[in-house]
Amino acid sequence: MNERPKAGPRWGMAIDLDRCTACQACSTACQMENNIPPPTPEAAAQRRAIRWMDLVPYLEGEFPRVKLRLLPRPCMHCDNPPCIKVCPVGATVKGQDGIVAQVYPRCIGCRYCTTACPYTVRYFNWYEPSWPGDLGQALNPDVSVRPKGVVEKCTFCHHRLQKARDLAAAEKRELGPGEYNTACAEACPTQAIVFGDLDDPHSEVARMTRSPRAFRLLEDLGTEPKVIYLREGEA
Amino acid sequence: MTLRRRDFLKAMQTAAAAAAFSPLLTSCRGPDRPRSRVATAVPPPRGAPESWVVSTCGACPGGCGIRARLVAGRLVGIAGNPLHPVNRGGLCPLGISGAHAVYHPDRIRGPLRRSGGELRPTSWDEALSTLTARLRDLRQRGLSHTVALLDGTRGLSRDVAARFLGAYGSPNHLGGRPWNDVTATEAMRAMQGVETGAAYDLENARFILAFGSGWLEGAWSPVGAARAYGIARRGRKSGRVQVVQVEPRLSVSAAHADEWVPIQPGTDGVLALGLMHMVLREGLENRQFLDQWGFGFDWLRALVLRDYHPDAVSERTGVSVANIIRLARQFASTRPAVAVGDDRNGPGVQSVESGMAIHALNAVVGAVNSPGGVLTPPGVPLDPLPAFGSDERGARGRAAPPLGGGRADGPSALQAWLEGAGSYPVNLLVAYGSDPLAMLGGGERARVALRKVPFVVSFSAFLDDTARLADLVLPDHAWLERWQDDPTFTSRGFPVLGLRQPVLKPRHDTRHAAEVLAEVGRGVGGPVAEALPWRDFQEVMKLSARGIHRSGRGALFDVPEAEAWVETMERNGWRATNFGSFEEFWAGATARGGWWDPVYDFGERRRVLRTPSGKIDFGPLARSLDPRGTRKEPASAMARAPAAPSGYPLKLHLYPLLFAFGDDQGPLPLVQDLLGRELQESWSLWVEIGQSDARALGLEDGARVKVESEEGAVEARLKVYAGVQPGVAAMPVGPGGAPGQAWRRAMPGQAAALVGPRHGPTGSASAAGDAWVRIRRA
Repeated sequence: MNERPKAGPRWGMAIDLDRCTACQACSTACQMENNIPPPTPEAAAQRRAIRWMDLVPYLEGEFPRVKLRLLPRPCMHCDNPPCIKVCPVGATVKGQDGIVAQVYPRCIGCRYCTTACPYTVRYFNWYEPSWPGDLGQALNPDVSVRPKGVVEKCTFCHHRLQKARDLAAAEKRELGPGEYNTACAEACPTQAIVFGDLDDPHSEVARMTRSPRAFRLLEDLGTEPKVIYLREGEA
Repeated sequence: MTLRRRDFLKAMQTAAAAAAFSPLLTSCRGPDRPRSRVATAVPPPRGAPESWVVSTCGACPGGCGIRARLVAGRLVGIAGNPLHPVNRGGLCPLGISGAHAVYHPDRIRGPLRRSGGELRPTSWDEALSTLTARLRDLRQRGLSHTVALLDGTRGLSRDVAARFLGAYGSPNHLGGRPWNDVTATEAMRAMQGVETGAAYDLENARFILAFGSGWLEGAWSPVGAARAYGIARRGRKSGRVQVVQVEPRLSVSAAHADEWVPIQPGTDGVLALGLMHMVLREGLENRQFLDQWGFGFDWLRALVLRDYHPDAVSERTGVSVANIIRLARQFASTRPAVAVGDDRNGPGVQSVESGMAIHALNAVVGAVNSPGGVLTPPGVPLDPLPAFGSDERGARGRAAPPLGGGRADGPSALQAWLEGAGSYPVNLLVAYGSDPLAMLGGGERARVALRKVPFVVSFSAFLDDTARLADLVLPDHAWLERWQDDPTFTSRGFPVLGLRQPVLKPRHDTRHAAEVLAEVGRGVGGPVAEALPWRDFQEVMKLSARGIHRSGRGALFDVPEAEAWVETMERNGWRATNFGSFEEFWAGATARGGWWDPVYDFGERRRVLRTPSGKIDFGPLARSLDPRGTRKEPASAMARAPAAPSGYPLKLHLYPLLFAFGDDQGPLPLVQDLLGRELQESWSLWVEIGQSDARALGLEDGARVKVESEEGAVEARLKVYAGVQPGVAAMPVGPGGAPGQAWRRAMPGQAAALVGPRHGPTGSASAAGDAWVRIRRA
């Protein structure tokens, strides 16, 4: 996919943990935006619930020296994604804009990718998607509903990029900064999540990656994640 | 031209990638076709007409602005309104999933009436005439005071209920919000004589000392508080705020604080007085402020210096002496610092006494009515509704003693009253934007108490616990389908009026609750009919909003950059209004979401201090610490550790679940799924204890246990959590819920049953901090 010369931005996300309050607005905004069905209690108990943007707790220590860290965790959209390498049917692809996508009609549900992903952000559809009562009326028309048996994951709200691009093209102009934003970043009450072009040195997200507090998850694996966290606490 | 294999694959890949994001996919599902229950789960067609409607969230009292996205008449998304000063585009899980409230399977589709023990559909005419006849009959028999109304609404809906009860002749207009939304408000009333409650200027504070329940989980406005937190942490030039959280349990708020100070449940006020002791002893108090603004401080000073020595406070609260001394110095020497005592949505771990102690601590360092301190938000300059007349029957009914002595926590007061404390029966109970049974834990005991009322009416839009038990259900619209005003304030104390306009037409045969109440009032006739002449709620809203227009203050919501402009103009005596005629004002306010006035005047001493002395009155706090005024009595009840009743070794700590205190839209599946994620617990009620207690009880993580108190018992899953103090059992409280839909089987609401109706002295809600439990295997 990377044969052509690189054009356009490299989309990425920064999450400032010092601002985050773990309210999970990002999580819900993602589920509403991307038509993720609510899990049944049984599915949740079996850890089969689908949460593209999940809140991951890390509890360390014993009372009274306990530390609870809460991390909102989307797909890292790695520049070197392990999930692509293991997919036998090419159902996982990295686009020119750096977004790692899942091609549902190709996916055979082997779940190699869910195993290969060190961040466990890939979800298998164990059930036919269902919404109790009339809740299905609230589905977003911009996003397809995934059938049972395929793997899905965070898309960086790629459909919003398509829309924004279409609009810019119709108005015969370039895509401007801020025109494309993910649902999680848009909903965040504290503006802890910032989305934008990592290659644009003037963008907020690029500024945040240069912070001394910045780190990436499991950086030593060489996956080169495009989601950057900013450590909490003084710096 | 030949097509090479490589080109073909490349083309396929591109096509497939495009297909991945195409809604066309809904039509190419695999052989496993959707079953009938998912037949509705088809998005509206792409390219269908799309519109955005600006409104105000009604999922909780926070008052955030929203924008609702409609495609082909379907509500397909809700986002924050970037112009709204409370949330500036952010939103919480409840608001975001608001569309699920509209399409909720528990929505009531039309009026219901109990006949033959079952709730059966009825017509609006019949339902209203039944209620009107009953009300008229009670009034004629001189029993109008035996009608009680639990009110969980806001703004003018509340005013309509007050007018109804006032003209009808009942003193029983009870608070019906979850838990006791009284602590900080009552403290402000006692010490400053104001009714507005407290606005904590978190955005400008450099040190936040938060007491009690998690303020990030359930503040007066969750998104407003979160936004202020974000700004205070990383969004301002004056540096990062320091946060210390004093709480019995490592909550989400405590996890985000710079320091968590574990404390025995229910002893927040004692610690506040212990800190005050150290501040006074070290001479760190703001003397100038106390001389100028304080009244009766000498009495309090003497009591605090005598009874709240760090040793005694440490023994009572479990906070080490070193920590007390350090925190006192840090609090008094960092300017501005604020002690947050607000748990109005929390489960009442703080008594009014505690609230006053925390407020007094703020006053001692001068953090009252100063930037970065506790502010008194000025009200929205609404026009009052016209005065209404009365007759002899109404006056007599109003003069009856109010149920529960006017306690602010309505459901608990009602339960205590019905369980035998009452001096007269309750003949008719109206649940108006309120689900008292769920708030009381939904257990058998509360159910038995409420059944003593011969006729229960519910206005709920959802088949909640109270509606299931009611004799008559007059379903309200879902909050996205109705008009409502939402007066609120920001953390900087700026008054805000959010307008809620219907986002879509009512889906079911429902009616606006305030309009129904007015219609019932007209049916009752006499002064009640005269007090409620309106047929359309929007009419009432316009009537009262004329006051804002006439005041010429503030501005319609605008981009953040406009705030400084309006403030500068108004400070210099100019008007900065961005509206002309009233019609323009109304159209603009509906289109942008509302009006606000981004100015806080720190010089308005007379507005902020309405006590007889015109100063901050420390008398009520001193009086409660030293009831006889002898200055020689032993320390008050607050300073004495209550003894555990025999057989109940664990102190119960109830805490609010993240954002889940709102009870205005039934339990939503997505919200249910995220409650307890921080502990990887969800979908069932759980009880947390520490490792040492679990070992002593011989219980392992995940065990089914029975939690029993003297008041009641519930079953739960045991969670062994390192973030709970030894000797404490912590339980979450969210909106309650009876068994219903698959995904609302076990809402963690029942824990409230362990506390019972909290028989406390009038106005006190202290008993929640005094519940003890035992845990055994179920």
